[in-house]
Amino acid sequence: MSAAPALAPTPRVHLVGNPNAGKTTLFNALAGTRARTGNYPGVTVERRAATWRIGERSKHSEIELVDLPGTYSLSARSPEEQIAVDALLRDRPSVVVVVLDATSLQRSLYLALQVRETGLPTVVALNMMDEARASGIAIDEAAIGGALGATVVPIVASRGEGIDALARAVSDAIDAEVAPAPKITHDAATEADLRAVEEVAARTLDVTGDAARAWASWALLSVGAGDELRDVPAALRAIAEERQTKAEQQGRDLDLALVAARYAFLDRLTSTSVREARPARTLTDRIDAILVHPVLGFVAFALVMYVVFETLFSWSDPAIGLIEDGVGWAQGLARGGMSEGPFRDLLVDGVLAGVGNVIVFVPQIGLLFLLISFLEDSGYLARVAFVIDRVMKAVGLHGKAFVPLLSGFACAVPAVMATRTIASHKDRLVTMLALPLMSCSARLPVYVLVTGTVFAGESRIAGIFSVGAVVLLSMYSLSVVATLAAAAVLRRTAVRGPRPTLVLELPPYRMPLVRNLLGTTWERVRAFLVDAGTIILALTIVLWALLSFPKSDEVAVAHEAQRIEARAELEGDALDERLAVIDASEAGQQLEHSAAGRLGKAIEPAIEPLGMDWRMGVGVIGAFAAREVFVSTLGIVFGIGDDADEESTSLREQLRDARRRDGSKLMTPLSGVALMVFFVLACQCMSTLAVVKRESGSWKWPILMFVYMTVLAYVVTLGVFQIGSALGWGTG
Amino acid sequence: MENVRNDSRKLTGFLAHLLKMVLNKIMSLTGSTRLGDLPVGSRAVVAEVQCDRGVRRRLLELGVLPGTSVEVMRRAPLGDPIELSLRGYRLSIRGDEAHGIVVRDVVAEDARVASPVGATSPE
Repeated sequence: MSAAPALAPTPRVHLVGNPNAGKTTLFNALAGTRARTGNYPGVTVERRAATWRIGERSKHSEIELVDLPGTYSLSARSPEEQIAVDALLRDRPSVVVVVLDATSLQRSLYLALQVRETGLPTVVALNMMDEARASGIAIDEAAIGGALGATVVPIVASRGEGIDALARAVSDAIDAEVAPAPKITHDAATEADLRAVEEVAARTLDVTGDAARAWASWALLSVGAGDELRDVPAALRAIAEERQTKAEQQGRDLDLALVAARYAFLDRLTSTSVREARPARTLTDRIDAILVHPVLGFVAFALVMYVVFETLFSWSDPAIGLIEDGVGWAQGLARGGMSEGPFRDLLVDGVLAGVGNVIVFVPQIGLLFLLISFLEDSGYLARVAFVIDRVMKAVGLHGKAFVPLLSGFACAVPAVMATRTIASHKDRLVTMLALPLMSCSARLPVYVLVTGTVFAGESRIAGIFSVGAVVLLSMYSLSVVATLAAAAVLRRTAVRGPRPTLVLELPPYRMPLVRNLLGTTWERVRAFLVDAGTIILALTIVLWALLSFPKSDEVAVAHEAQRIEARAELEGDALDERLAVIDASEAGQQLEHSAAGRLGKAIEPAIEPLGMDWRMGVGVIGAFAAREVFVSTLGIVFGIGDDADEESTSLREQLRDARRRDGSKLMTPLSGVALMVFFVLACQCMSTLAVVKRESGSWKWPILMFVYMTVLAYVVTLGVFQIGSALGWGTG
Repeated sequence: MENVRNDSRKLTGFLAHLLKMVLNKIMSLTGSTRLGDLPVGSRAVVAEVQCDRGVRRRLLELGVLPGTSVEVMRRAPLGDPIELSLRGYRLSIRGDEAHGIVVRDVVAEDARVASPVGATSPE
């Protein structure tokens, strides 16, 4: 290292810790809730950083604080797990703060030891000291600090206790000479393996001493067949693999030897420095006696899931209504205050509608994340996974995939964001890619319109159920089957990986901090607005342009002539009525002339075998903004105005009377079912694509999702309509 | 009074030991005992972890090592996964993984309640 420059750079402090150790609480306590969030390049993991104003407590007034993803170990097999080791061994922060749960030191010290092995200055924050004391755990902090070569500071992050002492310890550690890494004793053969790899690590990564040693043990534990690690020097990989193979040939268990040596060091340390009272039946056990009880557990589970569902499905409705009214009001204001023309249309139907399309998701995302953060921080989310994992396992999913899938019944956008609670990158991707097949609430208006059009009769199945209800139920069942099947197939194809497992800590129940809940929720909402929102806004404007341009002068002139005629002949209500009809007719003909209209006609040969015609095609294109827009787009195409909803009798009548070019009826029970099946399976939602881009960190996954869902929808709908037609079902 | 208690403790301890030996004998006849086979409430010491390398490494790093004592706390309502208590924390793993963990020194639930160690528990 070169001599310190006159103006010292801002010290960087990295925060590492086990999940559930209170890392986020500590981060917020140190730096406030104003974290800057972004993604680590190319992975689905979020990077949180903030400026920690350490102030008068230190000569370093400001520190760059980085919150690393929660982990139990620095070893890695995927790029996501690799973030932690790269953040320490490649970024080399000034100090590492390791947050440990003081009530489970026997396990959590493992991470602290690994961090110290890197040779970086380390401060250990022993969190939840209040709980530890209450359960009779006595900890000799000095002994632990001495053995690890780190300052140990007892804290209670939730109450801000020990934060000043932690700040002092960090500040001191920045300037102090770093202690050497603890000496871990290995057997001779393992020691030889470590030496050999260490040498190559030192050469290829330009490191020395403890860092080289840490890279060596990291490589021996991490590198292996099927790993997806990045930027591991070829020579390092080669020597690690060579040593692993050799150990195997000699019948030595290298993984075990490396891990067991660490635990031997720690067990020796904790046997003298941590005294644990034999735990009585804890509060957590008493709660779990009910919450994971074979019978009561399901009742509790069902209740909690009901609340999740209702939150998304109905409790967020008033707020959504308010936003829609607000946007409508703003659109009215702009329409009234500006002169007619393309610029006004752009502002009203493009920009304002786009902003509306974005913020309309905020109530659902906000409420869902308040709820999920509460469940996660309280410890119950892990129990949700515990209770339902058996079911999820059957389709190759993780127990934690349940809440996102359930949320998918309301809306895929918050549901995709909810996959964040799934720790494994691949499990998370599979869930994210499959859940848009769940029948969301935006599909309901399409089902209602179609069943109201083609199954309006009073006929009942078995005398009880109306045909419409049975069809609706079938669509929901189809969506669940399709989601689970897609997950199972994706697991074996695009997101192939090691056999999915569940290795899940069940943390003690704890009362969540309101500050953390609000902080997490706001972070999610902001991430959505900034990253996904801009994409949704841009796509709304593109879609608006497709549906509006080019305009036909001929159509405009013809309708203007009709208007003049009407004004001359009629007055009062009769005139208004006539003018509305003319407006609607003009809108319909202009839409037919627009790029979307032409596109609809261009794809007609492709969608005809599905039972659709070009008007449906235009509706499908319009529905890309949001599926329910299918209904209003059809309203425009059929010339009855843009305010038609799924209950509109005139739209239903128009649809019932509509004919194809060959004169046959457009909407038959069969083509209706085909259309609904298409809407169950097709990825008709740009907001979902935008949020998958945001959450997966690349365009690769939303594109894959769009392609597989579209192909699936096309093939299945084709099968339904063609087989149905051949058998003569519901064609009349 | 104290003597009687001590004697009864010794006796139950001896009986527990006997039971354990018989149990282990039975287990050794049927092959190695797996963590996944233990009834809820049993305690045992991990002897070997035989899962796929990735899962195995995770389990080892979470402290599921040969020599670590674990207790089977409960099964999920649908029978899988199971909840373990080890090293002062609770870990949930699926039956598939639990069957990859060979255990020894099994103390069954009944024996534990009667044993001196279990006697300190208020349950």
